[in-house]
Amino acid sequence: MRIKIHILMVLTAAFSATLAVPEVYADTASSREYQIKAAFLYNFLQFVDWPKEKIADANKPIIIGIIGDDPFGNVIEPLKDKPVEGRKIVIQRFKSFESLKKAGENDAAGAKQNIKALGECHVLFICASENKNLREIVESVKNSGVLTVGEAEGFLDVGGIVNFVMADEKVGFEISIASAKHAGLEIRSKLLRLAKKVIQEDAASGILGEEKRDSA
Amino acid sequence: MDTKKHSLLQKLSLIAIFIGLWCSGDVLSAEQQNADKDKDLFAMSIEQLMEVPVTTSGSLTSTSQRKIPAATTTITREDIQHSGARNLDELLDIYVPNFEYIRHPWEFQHAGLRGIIADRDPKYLLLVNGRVMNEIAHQGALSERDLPMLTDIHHVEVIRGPGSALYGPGAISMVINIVTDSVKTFEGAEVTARLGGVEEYYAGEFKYGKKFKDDSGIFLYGGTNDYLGADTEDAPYVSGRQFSSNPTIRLDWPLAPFPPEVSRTPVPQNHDKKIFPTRRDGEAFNDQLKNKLYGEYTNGGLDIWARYTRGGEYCPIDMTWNGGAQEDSVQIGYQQATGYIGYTQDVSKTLTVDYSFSYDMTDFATVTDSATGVLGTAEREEKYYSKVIAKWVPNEHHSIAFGGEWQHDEFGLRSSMWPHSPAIASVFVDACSTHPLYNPTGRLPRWSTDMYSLLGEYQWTINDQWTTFVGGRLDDHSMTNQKMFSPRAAVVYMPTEKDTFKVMYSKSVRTPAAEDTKLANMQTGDKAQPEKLSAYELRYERQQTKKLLLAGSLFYHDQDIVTAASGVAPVGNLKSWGAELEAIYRTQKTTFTLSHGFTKQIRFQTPAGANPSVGQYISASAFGYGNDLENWSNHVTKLTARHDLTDKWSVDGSLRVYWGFPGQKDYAKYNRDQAIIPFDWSNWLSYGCYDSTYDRVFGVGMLLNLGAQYKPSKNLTVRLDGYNLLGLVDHTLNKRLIGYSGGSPANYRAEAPAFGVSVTYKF
Repeated sequence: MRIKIHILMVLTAAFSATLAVPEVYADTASSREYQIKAAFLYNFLQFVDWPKEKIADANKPIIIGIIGDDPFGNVIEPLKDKPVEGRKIVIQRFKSFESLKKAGENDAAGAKQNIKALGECHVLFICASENKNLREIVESVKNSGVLTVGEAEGFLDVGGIVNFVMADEKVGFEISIASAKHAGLEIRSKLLRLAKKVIQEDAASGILGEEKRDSA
Repeated sequence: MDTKKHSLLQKLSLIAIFIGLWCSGDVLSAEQQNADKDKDLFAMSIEQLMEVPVTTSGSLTSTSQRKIPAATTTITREDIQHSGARNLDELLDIYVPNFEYIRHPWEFQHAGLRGIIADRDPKYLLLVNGRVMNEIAHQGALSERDLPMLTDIHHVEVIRGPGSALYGPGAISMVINIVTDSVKTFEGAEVTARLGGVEEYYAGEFKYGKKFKDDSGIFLYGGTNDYLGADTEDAPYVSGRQFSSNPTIRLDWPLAPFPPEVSRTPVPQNHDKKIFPTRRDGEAFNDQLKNKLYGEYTNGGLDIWARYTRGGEYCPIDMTWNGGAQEDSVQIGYQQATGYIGYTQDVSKTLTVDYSFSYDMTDFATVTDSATGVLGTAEREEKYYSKVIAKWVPNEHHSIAFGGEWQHDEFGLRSSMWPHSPAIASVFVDACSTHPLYNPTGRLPRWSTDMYSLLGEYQWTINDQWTTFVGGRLDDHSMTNQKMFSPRAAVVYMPTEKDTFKVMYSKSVRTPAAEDTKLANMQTGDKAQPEKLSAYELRYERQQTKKLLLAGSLFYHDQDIVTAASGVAPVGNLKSWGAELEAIYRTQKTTFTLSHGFTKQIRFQTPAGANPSVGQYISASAFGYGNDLENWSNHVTKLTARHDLTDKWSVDGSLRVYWGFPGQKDYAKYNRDQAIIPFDWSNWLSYGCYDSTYDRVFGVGMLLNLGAQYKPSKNLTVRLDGYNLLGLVDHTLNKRLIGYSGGSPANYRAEAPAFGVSVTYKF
């Protein structure tokens, strides 16, 4: 066994590094798709304006809710270390809408509290496992200033605001301005420009118009 | 070691010291660090995120990870780092279920999957960024595998199973796709220094990414390495013929007297490591540096990259063959240069067309006698390749991909590694004048081949639960006697959010090595018959909880095998089956992966009237011995673990267990039973023997690696790795069987217990 002086030199160099810097999050290898979608959720926060009353208290965190069988796992955890406009981000998970309702069978006040918790989210990601409850979930938060995000066909038709779509091996999204307006949210034009599809609201006739975009 | 390499080592060491000293001071303030851009996904803009591909190599049409109609393994950059792997073979061996590699008596080591392995590496495709890198004339997948520089790799995708329907001939067992970093995944600069002790090596790498606009930029990478390997004391080479408790067994060799005391060495409990001095394990070809260079320019849909690699190794041969000449070996070396241009055109919202053109030059040489420098092979091949694929997605239910490829290959070119020699190949030269392939000139002719291909796939998403895939590929090769058709069909059923069922059928094909097809064509006028494999697989995946993923596969193979030694026609038909179980458990701080692969021969049948001893090293069952694959461990178990102790410290480890080689034992028994016949030059089987009590070589092999990682800052990572640590207790646990032994049974090389240190700094 030949041990060269270089080994000692490298070891010395390596262990002389002692900077104290916030941790580097170990990027665990979860589904690539949900890593990308988590990053999209973070970006959405920067291009949506919430009602003043929703963000009045600057000390309150921004809440990203996830309802259903969480596909993100650990890959969404880095958001906790990325404040937006000085506000921390908190991830709140809800098991399912059925479980929220079941809790209310015996305790109406408790059920109301649970549903209220949904409404306190700034962003609510509705997992694919909740596809059969989409309309109910969207209805339950429609007046609460919540950016509802889904990944199901027809999500915008039931009142959802942003829907993830897949095209050419990449993640894209569609937006319903109509649903955003009903929720009291303002979506900035940059986000609208990048959407694959934008559902407008015709102010005169109330007919929803759909604007399809070419691929980015 | 010469002065040039010595100064390189000094430079590497100085770089490492500089990095350490720089980081240990208060050079970078917290504000500066916070201002540094986080180059992960969360730092990307929406425009950038929309350009990040989601899917892997497992389908031609776009689909989600869950629906990919194949068993796949993805090894991320973080997985690579935590494995401490010193080369691609080791990396795949650690992570890919039912994958293993074995040594060869005189060639580069061979990798295989699910029992499909050969005495070269032509039965799987090795890709870089989707471009096939296999050397076609002789070896198969050769480049990239031995290089201890891995930081240019963003991730590695492995399609476990036949892949010719997507990638063409050669993807019999698997497809390995190395996806490199690009400007989309890396910005800034990073340096890495690595060194290994016991198995000695020194490596330095540098990479740089610069974005010009949102969708354009360059990525550059350079790496070099001096690989000295491990000496025989730490990595002994053991031949079964060294041991005999029976004084009547002859170990004849007409060329040189065989030490009589060695021929009667008692079977040891733990072999004597000093029996045969030989070349160091892993020692670099021709004592030269191994290098890797890569550069990529991206601008919107345009992608241009160039890659150069140089590597190779000494391959120690069985000393009992040649009269015990010390330190004898074969060397195999290569260099490869590849240029690629690709462009994606968005014709409409539903239609995109991908165009690509590439050029590849691969130099390959074997030095058959290291003492005299006699060349066995020295040749260069050039490959021109173009492809057009259209992808049409009319709506969310249907997706269609179709296109064509053209490949033109030139062979018999003079090797630039050995410019003084004409192009020669060992199959055209044989030391034995009575051998049917004897060619006194030894020179390769110059020739070319063409292949025209059509391919397509249709994906039908029936509803949220059902998706089907149908596709195939038709290849027309100028040197095969039939067109090659590789169909694929799959049904994916997702009844719940947790469960996924996949039923898959695929057929893959392979053309024999270009040297073999040319030689046969010269001698008989015949064209080659392709190798074919049909595979049926049932796979089940369950996301049991947020943290736990379970998966299992059941597969059946029906293969008409063409081996290197059998020339250009099948040597027999092999039917086999197997099963794989996988579990992946992840929390925020801990990750476990566990897999077990089982593969079993059902039947190996040689053609009626054929001599089963010619060209087949598949199974001794052809001679009536057992019913197992010669060069495969029926059971392969792999475990990896990783845990973050604190924000800065993490520990990890891996364990690979090969539960014995019954097929190799059967073949060795067969060889031993032939050893009583008088020695006959033309019959390799006549000089294979070993003592029947020495069967430890066919037992369990276990390779344990442990590592510790320290990340004092976002920019700096330091690792310490220990490799093959069980060998500190018992060397035989670290054994790598030397397969394709033919007349040399019961040989192995024990891989050295070793350590490594690496330092990476990102600017």
